[in-house]
Amino acid sequence: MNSSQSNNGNNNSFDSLSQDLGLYFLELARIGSSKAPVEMEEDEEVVPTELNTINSSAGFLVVAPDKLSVKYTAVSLHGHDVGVVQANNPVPVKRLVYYFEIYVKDAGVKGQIAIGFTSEGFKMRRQPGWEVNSCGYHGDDGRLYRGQAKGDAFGPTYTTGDTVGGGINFASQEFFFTKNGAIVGTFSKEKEMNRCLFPTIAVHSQNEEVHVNFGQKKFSFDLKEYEAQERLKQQMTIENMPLPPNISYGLVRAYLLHYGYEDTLNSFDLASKSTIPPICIAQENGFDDQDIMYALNQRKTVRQLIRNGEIDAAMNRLRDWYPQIVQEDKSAVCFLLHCQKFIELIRVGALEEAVKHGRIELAKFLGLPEENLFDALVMDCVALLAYERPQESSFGYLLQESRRDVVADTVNAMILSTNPKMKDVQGCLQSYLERLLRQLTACCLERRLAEGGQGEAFCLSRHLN
Amino acid sequence: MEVDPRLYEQISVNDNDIHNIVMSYLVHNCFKETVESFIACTGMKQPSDHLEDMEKRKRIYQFALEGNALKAIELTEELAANLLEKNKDLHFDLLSLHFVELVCSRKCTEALEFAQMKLTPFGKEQKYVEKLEDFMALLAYEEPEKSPMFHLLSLEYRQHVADSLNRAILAHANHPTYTAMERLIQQTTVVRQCLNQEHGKDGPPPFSLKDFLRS
Repeated sequence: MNSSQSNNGNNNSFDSLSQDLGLYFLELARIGSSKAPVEMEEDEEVVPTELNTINSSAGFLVVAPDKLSVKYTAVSLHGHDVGVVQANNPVPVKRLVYYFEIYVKDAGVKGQIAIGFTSEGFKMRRQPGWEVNSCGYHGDDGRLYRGQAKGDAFGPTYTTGDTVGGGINFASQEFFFTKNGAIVGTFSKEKEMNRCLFPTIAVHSQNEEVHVNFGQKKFSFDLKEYEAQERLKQQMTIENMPLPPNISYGLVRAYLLHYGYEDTLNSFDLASKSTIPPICIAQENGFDDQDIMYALNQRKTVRQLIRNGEIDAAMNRLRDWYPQIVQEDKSAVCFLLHCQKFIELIRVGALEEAVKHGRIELAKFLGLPEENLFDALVMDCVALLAYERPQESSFGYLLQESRRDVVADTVNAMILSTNPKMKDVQGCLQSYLERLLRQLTACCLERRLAEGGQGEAFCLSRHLN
Repeated sequence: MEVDPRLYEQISVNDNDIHNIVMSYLVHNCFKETVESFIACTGMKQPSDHLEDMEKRKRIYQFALEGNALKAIELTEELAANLLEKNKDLHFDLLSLHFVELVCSRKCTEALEFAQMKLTPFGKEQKYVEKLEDFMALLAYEEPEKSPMFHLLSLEYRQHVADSLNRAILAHANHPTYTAMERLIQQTTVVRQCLNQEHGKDGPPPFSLKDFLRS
């Protein structure tokens, strides 16, 4: 969208400007009807579910048929006959925490069991942690190995009957290990370990036997509580951020002004004047509401008509007050208005009239250059005719009240754009509040990108509920 | 360099979320008529039982703001029985407001008596001792407004106590204590800080609402 185009009152530039605005809302309407991208991504990541029998060190260990336990079958002689096995899939990163556990069924002769994370292509003869790009918590000495043969003192040893867990906290970028439900220790994940990591277990002396749990059974460690604590920590960082007083007041007022909620605004202004101290949004806070006070009453009136489904009345008002908005009949805003009229006719069951209206007003939008936007919506609208109970069909979303809001918002933006003193097109599209929200979402996504795409995605609805 | 939201065109903000954010602000700050109007204009569902309590909260807030702490305390006990017992810090702050009122009206003997009866019992705990000392010190000055503790007499201080009281009442009724709006601004600030730390001078500057609104 070209925001450097300015409205100098010239009809030509207004047309192209208005076309841009209308298309923006049309696109938004189309996006609003499909599943949000964030939700989809969380379904898509694969997770470890069982042990990988293909690349494990087959000569030294045996994996049970259910692929959830291993036994060391050889007699270990040196440091290169470790029985190592990775999970079938790498650790999923688009979440807050990943965690898995092992249960030591039998510590065998020497108890040289290890749990940790290794990268693809790990030498499957060595304990996790003994090679670069791996880490491991070893049961025989309780040490943590991080890529070298010499480990650091870390925690207690573990043996038969113990449940040991390994996890990655993507928020704090740390590894952590647990023993019998309690955290043993944590250490930070270097950026080099940002590659694909696999949960890994290893056994190294005769008769060692280990069972693994990738979440199919309840964990010994309270993972939910850990996640809750982590979220709380993040929450506290946010809560401790100081705020200038009355900062929200301006945003709320600007929102009401932008969308033309005149009655609510009057009520709000009345109430604010009588508070002690009277709240004043000085220019110092950055609010410039000249642009959005424009045509407040007209915008309110048109919005109310659209909200009540009185599309004809709304269009008449627009023809009287702002003919330039509706004069180009093939514009996006006219399209949205005609579609909505069609939908309203269907809503009251006036099917014949709907068809007539569709033929006269909607047909002309088929086959236009912006066909992907117009065609799809026309087809969806027309499809409603096929159902006895259209609201229950997959196109039922068109009959929701929120569709009227989309049309109302578009018209609102168009009216704002007729303001000769308008400085910036962006100002018509969304109120400050929405811009703030988009900024926040964008920042969170940026941040996640900076951390190699790891961690939970930011989902506004989740935060608000 | 602002993080350009247009790079993330697929971010659509749900109307419902926005309405909820605005509503959360209005409810928190007891704008009853505005809430009703907003509901009528947008067709939102009414927030459950907020409205009655809103009037009561508003009155409590205003009494606290005026410095009429005793009335605020009385109404709070009516609305939320054990609230002040469970929030000793808040209770202390409210009582201290009354103390300050007495000092400002130059009723020093009354102030002293009140303090001895109501405030000094808090002194059993170390954390209140310093606060107590500050308040009692006000008695030493002929013109407490000119003392080093003059901020305790200020509107800002009363507003701070009134805000805490408002949040405590909301928490007591299991409602959110911070408006969604405040949370969002805080969150944006924190995330931008992180980005700033990550990228150094290549990254976006720390978040300032003022600058953002001008951009």
